[in-house]
Amino acid sequence: MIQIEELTTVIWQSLLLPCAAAAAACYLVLRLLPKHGIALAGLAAVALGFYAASSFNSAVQFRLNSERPITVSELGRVAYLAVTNPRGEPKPPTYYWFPWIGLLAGVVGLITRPAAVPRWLAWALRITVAAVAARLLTYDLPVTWPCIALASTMLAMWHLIEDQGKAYPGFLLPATVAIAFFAASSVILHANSARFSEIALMTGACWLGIAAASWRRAADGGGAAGIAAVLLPGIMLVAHTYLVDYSDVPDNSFLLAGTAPLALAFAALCRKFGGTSPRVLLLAAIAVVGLGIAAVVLASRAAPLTFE
Amino acid sequence: MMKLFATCVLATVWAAAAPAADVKYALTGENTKIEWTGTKSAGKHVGGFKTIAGVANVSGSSGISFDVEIDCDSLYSDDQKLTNHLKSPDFFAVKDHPKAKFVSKKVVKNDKNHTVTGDLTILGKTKEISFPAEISTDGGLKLTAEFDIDRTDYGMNYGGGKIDNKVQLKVTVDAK
Repeated sequence: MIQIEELTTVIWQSLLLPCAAAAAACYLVLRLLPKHGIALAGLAAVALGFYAASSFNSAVQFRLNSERPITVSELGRVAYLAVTNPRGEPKPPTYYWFPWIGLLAGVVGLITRPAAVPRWLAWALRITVAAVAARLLTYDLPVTWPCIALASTMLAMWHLIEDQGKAYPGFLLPATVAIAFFAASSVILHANSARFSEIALMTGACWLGIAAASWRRAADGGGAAGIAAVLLPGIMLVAHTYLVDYSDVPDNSFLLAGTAPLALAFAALCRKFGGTSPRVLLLAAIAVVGLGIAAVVLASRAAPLTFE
Repeated sequence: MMKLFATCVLATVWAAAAPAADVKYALTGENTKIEWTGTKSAGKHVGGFKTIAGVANVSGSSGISFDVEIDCDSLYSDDQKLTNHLKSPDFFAVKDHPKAKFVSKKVVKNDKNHTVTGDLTILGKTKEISFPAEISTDGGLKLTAEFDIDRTDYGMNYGGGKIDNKVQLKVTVDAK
């Protein structure tokens, strides 16, 4: 049963605060670097929004051991072992990697965003990030195909969000991504995990902040496109792995929520055949939101929430 | 005759001085109850664990010892959704840590009761705890104990500020 008072706290800590921090960071960067700051603006927005939210809640674990701070070398060593020898020594739970794969994707997104970067290099870096992220999030699974499916989904989503964002700068695309994360958060909440739900909510709030800043200064997700691409399907797959035995939420709900932004392919296809009207993005956005809503409806029918 | 008599006396003395035989009690969910109470600002929830496997050793020479394993997937509470939530990575992360464990190090008799000291392992983290317990070994093993643990000592950090860190545990054993 969800307490109304707790819900109010969550809305403040995991929605309003990160949204405000992200909007402020994005707007500031765009104001200081109006020509070349788009990539950095998105990354700064998500980073600051996440940091602000994490200061108040413990949904995200940054430390490997709660009794001592994390070091770069330790993190690197554990990540290397996790990627290269998943059956080896005990590793942190897969959800530990959420903030780090987000950071990696954001940095690579920043590096590959400028037009001067060769396309082959940009793709090679994205493929590497998607492969590493998918590996880190699936090393506790007994089969390999989820890793491949997840990496493919991440790559496709990354390309779609970044490409459509560049083609249609403005608040619509970031707002659509935000709504996709909110739908994911709702599905996970129905599946009995507040932690994963808050992580999705925080990320969605950061994207809402980007959308708010983009209202005044036309921008897109910039370097944050990769963050959304690795985190949305990643969170849904990991959440499903952990919650499937303790929840009535159907698999379809997790799948729809985790892949909703792939509906942006509609806009990509239209552009390929000459359709560049903003209405095309609007239709694609409606499709994304529709898939998210369908996911939430499925979840709520199977496992209704109760409040007190 | 004298030799036989001396042998009998010695045997009697030895028998009297010999320590009582060790008695082992199997601890299961039938004779052992582990119940918890968790609190937050707006109220509390209660529950326990149904599946327990372990052994209690009552020895005349070395005292009492406990070695208990708790199946975290057998966790129950007063609300089914809460039970599922507690099994998720927010709290017990049963998929990654299916068992909790308690191994006693010493059981010391005080004036009125006993103090049990041992290692409690939850979420793969081990911490030494001590708690008072009423223990009786007449006609079996009976134990009653109530004490608090801090869930954050075991890495169960989620919900801090909304859910109290202190969790009250009540352990009851009635083994024969």
